[in-house]
Amino acid sequence: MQTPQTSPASHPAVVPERVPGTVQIFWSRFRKNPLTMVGGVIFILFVLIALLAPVLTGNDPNQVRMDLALQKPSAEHWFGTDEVGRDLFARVIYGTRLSLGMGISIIIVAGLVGTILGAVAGYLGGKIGQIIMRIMDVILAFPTLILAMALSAAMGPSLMNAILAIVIVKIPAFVRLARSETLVVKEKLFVKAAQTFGLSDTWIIVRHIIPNVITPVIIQMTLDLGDAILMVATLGFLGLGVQPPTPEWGAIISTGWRYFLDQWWYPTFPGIAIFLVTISFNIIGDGLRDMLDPRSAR
Amino acid sequence: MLLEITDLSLSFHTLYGTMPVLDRVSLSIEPGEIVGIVGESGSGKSVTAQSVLRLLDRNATYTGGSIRFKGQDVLGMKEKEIQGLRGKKIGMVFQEPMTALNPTMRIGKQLANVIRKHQGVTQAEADRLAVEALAAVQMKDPQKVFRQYPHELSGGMRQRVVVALAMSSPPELLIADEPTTALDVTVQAEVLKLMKELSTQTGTSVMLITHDIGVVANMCDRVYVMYGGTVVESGKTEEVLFHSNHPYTRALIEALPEGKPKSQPLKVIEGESFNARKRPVGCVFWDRCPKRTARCQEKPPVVEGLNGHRIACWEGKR
Repeated sequence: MQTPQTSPASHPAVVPERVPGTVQIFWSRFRKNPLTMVGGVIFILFVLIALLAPVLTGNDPNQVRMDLALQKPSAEHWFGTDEVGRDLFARVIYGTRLSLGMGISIIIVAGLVGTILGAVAGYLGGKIGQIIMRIMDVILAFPTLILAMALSAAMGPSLMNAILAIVIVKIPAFVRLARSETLVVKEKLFVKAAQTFGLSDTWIIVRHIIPNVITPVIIQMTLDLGDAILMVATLGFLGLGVQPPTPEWGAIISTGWRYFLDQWWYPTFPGIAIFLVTISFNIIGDGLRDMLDPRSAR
Repeated sequence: MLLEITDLSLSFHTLYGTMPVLDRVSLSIEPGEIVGIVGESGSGKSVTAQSVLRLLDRNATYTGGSIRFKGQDVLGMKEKEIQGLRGKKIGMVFQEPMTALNPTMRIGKQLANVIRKHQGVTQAEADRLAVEALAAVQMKDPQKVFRQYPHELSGGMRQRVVVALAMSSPPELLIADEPTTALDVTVQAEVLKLMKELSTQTGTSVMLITHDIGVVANMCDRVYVMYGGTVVESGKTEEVLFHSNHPYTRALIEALPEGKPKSQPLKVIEGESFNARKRPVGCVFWDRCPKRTARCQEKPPVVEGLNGHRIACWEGKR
C-alpha cells in the first residue's frame, strides 16, 4: 500500500483500509498465544486422526491373530500388538474416534441442557428455580467420578449409559454458571425492555438471555472436554463404560496394565493418547478464556 | 379516559421492613395527550409508571387503589392479559439507551422481532417495516442501521432505535421514563421533538417522566408534580408552571437556572431529599418546606383550583 507523500501533515490518514472482522481479531489473538497454538495443533491432529482412521492404518482394530500376540512395536505394528494379536496402533487410532466423539457429544449435551436449565432457573427464579438448583445440589453433593461410576453401574455398563452418566454429573457446573450469568443479564435494561414489548418468557430466555450468557459456557465446555474424555477412559478402565472388544483407550489400558512389566507398549500408547488429548483441551480452554475475556490486555 | 390511576398505594418489602412507596396517587391520561410527571429521585414517578405495566419486582405489593386502562382493571389482570397490553397497547422507553438494546442482536432483527410479534406479518414484511420504523425516527441511513449492532451506534441513535421499537406498532400509550436523561443536551431536544411528532402523527398518548421541569414546559399538555410518593400538584402545564401554589413546585421552578443572571447563585431546595424510611405522618414535604406550620403535621387536603388544577397543601388557597 502506498502512502501519498503529498498529503498535508494536517490530514493524517486515520481511517484504516479495512476494519478487521471478528474472525481476524480472534485469529490474531490466537497466534500471539504460542501455548494455545500447541494445544490447537494437537487437537487438530487428533481430529484428523479420528477422521482419517481407515486411511492411517490398514489393520482392522478387532482382527484377532493369536500367532501375533504381544509383539513388540515394529514397522508392521507401530504400537505392537495385544494379548490376542490385535494391532494396537489401529486400536488407539480407532479409539480416538470413540473418545473424541463421546467427549464432544457429552460436553455439547451437558452444556446445552445445563445452559437452558441455568437460564430458566436464573430468569424465572421462584419455585421452578429452587427445584432446578436443589436437584443440581443433590448431584453436586457426590464426587463427580464416584457418581458417574455409580450411575453407570446402576444402568448397566454400555457406551450409551456411560455417556448418559457423565452428562448427568457434568450438567450442574453448567447450570450454576449459566444461572449466575443469567442473574446479571436479567437485570440489564434490554431484558426489561423486551418484557415491555410483551415478549414471552421463552422468547426472552432463548433470544435475549442465552446469547448473552453463552461465552463463559463455551469456555467451560472446552475446559471440561478433556475432563470428560478422561472420565470416559476411567469408566472404560473400570469396566463400567465401553465394553470390549470395542477399542476404547481406557478399556485397552484396563486389560493392558497387567502386561506392563513385560510388554510396556501395551498400556503406554493409549495412555499417551489420553494424556495428550486431555492436556490439549486444558491448554485450549485456558487460551480461549484469555482470548474471549474483553478485559485481557491484548 | 385512556389511563386512570385512582388512589394507588404501593409498598416494597425490604430488609428494613415494609416501606410505603406510593401514597394514594391519582392520575389520568386522555387519548392523544402528553402528560408529564416531574419529581426528584425517589418521588415515586418511575414506580408509578412501571406499575401501569406491572413491571415491578415481586417485593412490591399494591395496598390500595386501582389502575384502569380503557376501563380494564390492570391490577386484576392475569399475566397473559397483561402481556397482551405490553408493547401492543402500552409501549415503554427507558432512561438508559446504552443497555436497552440486546448487544448480541442486530438492530433490524430486534425491531423485526417485535413487529412480527405484534402485527403477525411475514419476516420479509417485518424487515421492511423495521427499515420504515428506523426511517420514521429520522435515521439518515436506515438500511445501514438495520444491519448494525447496538455498540456501533451513539447514545442518541440508540435512544431513537428504542423509540422506534416502542412506536413501530403505535401503542395507545407510550410511557417514557426519563428518555433523555442519559443524552447530550443537543440530542435531548431532538429525541423529545421526535417523540412529540410521533405522538401527534399516531395519536399516541405519552406519559413523560422527567426530573427536568423545563422539558415539561416544552412538551406536556398537563403535568403531575410528585414528591415522596404522592402527587403534590397537578393541572394544565401553564397553570402549574405559572400559577403554582405548592411550595415544592415553586421551589423546583425557582431552582431552574434559565433566565437568571450568572452572578446570582443557583437556588437549591434546603434539606435532604425524601427518605421513604422516615415518612412523615402529615405532609410529605413538611421537613423541607419553607412555609410549614403546625397543621402541616397532619395530612394536607387536596384543594381544587381552576381548570382541574389540584394541589395538596394546607396553604393551597392563597
